[in-house]
Amino acid sequence: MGENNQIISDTLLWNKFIHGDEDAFRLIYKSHVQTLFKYGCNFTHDEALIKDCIQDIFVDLMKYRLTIGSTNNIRLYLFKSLKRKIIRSLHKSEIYRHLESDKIPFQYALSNEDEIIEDENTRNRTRHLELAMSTLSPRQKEAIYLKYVSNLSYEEISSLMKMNYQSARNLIFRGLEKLRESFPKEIVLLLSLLRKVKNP
Amino acid sequence: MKDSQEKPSTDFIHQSEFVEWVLRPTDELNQYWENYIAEKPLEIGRIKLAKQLIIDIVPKEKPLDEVEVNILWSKINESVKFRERKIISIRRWSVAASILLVIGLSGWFLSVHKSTDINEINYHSVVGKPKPGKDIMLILADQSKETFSTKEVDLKYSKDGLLTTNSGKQVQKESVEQNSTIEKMNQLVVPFGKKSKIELADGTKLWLNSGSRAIYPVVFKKDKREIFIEGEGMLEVAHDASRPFYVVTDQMKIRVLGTKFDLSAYKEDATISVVLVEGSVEATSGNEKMILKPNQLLSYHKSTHEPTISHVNVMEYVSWIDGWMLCEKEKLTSICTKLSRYYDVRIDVFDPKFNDMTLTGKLDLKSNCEDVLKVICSTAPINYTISENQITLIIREK
Repeated sequence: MGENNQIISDTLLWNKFIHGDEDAFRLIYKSHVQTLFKYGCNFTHDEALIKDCIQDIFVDLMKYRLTIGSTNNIRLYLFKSLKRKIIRSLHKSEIYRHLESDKIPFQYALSNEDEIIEDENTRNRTRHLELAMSTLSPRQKEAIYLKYVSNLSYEEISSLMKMNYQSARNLIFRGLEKLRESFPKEIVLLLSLLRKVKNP
Repeated sequence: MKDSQEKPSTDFIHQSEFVEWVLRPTDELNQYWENYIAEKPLEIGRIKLAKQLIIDIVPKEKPLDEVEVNILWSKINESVKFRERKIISIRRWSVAASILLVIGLSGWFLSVHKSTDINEINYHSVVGKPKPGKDIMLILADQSKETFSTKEVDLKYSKDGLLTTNSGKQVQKESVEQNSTIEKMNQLVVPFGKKSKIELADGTKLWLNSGSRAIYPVVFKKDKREIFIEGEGMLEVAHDASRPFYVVTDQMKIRVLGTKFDLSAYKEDATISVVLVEGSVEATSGNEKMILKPNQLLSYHKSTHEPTISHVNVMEYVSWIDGWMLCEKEKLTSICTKLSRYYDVRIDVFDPKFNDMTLTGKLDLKSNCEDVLKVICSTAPINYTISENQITLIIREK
């Protein structure tokens, strides 16, 4: 039900923006800039480059607003534009020039580098998960990220990643299974029980 | 999911109802999964594991901070407006700093009245004037005081006037009756060397610079919002056409309908200045009417009552909220005045040769005062000496 509402309001908001409503443009920016930035961080550590790309896609939106037509899914539209922009920019640099676009590593950084995890239990799990994550393909990582972090639907993911619905499902299913198997079950269970006893 | 017992490979992590419950729980989902657990108590171990895995998969990402979001937005608008002029971006920062123009707010305005009956509310009698201390001090409506020894304090008032702080310090609940005729006032006093941010009950954000104070109601009235500021504050006023926003200083009253600006009204300064970041402005002083646009600075001379408008780089005026001082051909003497407020030190620039000296660049106010001085001395022919709380700058002879 929530999804339906969002689609209706997206269409309306987009129409307002196309017809020159600057508040609508501002609202689109404000409600998507954080998720876009976070998504972008998975392609590169260069935050300035991500910000430049975000700037470019919004400037382009304004520039071409009379010709871009309607959309009922602003977020998907922006995700697609950002991904295209970032990959294009990365291709310009030496390191990535020879790589095909689907080989550009999707980083999926689980923990924030500046942050020190104090809890040993959490640190352990994160390490295990990072290890398991590194065995996944970039596309698998990206699909899981889009599903669980960006909260995109399978339809949206398949459209963004240019694959069919069933392949997207399979990609995510297999990836998650790999992660799940890596999970140190016994330890986690035991510790979560202990924690319960300690602070009831 | 009814056959999950028979097919253990279909784990909870693949079920969207489950993922939704973990990441974005609703009453409905809570109800559903509580029932599920009650029916199948043996599943609790697997549920816990799946839940933990999903929580762990979602990374703890660092979001862009508010200032960065605003700078990026300004850059977008700048590019949109000035695309035709083909501005060549020399450096990223210079683009960010050059113009903060916003196109979406043209209907909003701000007006400055030169008025003699400014203080409709006598702020000094509502809340007693505090003695300046070393710590940031919050004075509540019942005159009780809270002090904070940190360099910065972040206060947030909810719609009903409930106060939370970033330091985790518990501040007593202020009970607010909606229909009460007397507004409950709080006062935040920021001594030299510190700064603070307040989010007021209507969502308006106020950054207070060193050596400043603000007096504001815990909850605003239904028809009007009014606060008092002494010193320097940057405001991002929440748009609310039905309740105009007033900022009162000793000699000036500013009317706002929703905009972003920096106000500097230090007692010891000869002028009050208002710098507009976003919005469109109508300033009234005596019989004179002036249109203030973004990037313009209105200086109001306190003794001559003479207003002047000039074009400025607004980043120079607002970058302090993010711990930077941005200077573009700024007088060394003016930089020293700002630094002495920010670090609560005395800086003497006696030599008349300093009067013509200007600096351009970016100073990091997050580092300590001496490091900042070193940066200045490395770019200009200056040496400094420190004794106790007194810094003296001298020209370096060749």
